[in-house]
Amino acid sequence: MVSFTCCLETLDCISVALFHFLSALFFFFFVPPLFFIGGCASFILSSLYFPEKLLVLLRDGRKLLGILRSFDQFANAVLEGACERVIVGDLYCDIPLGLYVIRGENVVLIGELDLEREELPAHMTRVSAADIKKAQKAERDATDLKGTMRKRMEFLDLE
Amino acid sequence: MLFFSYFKELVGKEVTVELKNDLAIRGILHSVDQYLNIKLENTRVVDQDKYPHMEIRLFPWKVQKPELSVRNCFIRGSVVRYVQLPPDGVDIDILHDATRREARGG
Repeated sequence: MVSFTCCLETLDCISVALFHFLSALFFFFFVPPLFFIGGCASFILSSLYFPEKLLVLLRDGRKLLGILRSFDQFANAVLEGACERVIVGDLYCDIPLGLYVIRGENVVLIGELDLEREELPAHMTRVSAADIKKAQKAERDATDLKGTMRKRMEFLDLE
Repeated sequence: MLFFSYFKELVGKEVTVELKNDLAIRGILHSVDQYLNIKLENTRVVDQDKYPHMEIRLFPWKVQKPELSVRNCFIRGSVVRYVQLPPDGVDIDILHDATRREARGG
């Protein structure tokens, strides 16, 4: 390669231009197909443009946000700068997680986030991780209480 | 393979995809692949009052704005329970024929 470029220096402008033209051809026609090796699923996913902010909904209901760096035909995905968005009522919190590799079987859906519209509505307030943990616990306790109340009522009905 | 080609003919039509977690998403079918993974455009969550499910609060601001911040999404085929089709999207006779052909192995 070095000797090749050295040769180029001795050549006139036309062949330099030709070299640039050929390298441009190479990058346009040989590099892009590399992105399509993964098969059909990745063809669908690849129409989500690459450096893009995504929302990944997992089977356990968790919501991960991050920048898509890679994926394959099983919808395995690599998220850079991932964070988990915890929503409790009108409170929300983004807990930073870092680089995440998600196994495809856990994915429910992958949504493109509109960067202009990503901001949350006015009535949602951002709170700290500790506060959201507290709110989550309160909500869980409330549903537990409801469950036990219902159980007692059923018992009364049976009587 | 029959349903793959069947869904390919529905591209561009509006469908409702009901997921195994009771979330129902309506949108225009953009593409489908061999696993019946689905890509929808102009999505919105339907029936969020009927299904006050956890996931529906993912888009709580939908009440004020008819649009979500997620406009296009990829749905993994394995989590789909039903796909509700437009009434004019099915030609029953052709589907019958194709199903019989498939059953004969032809």
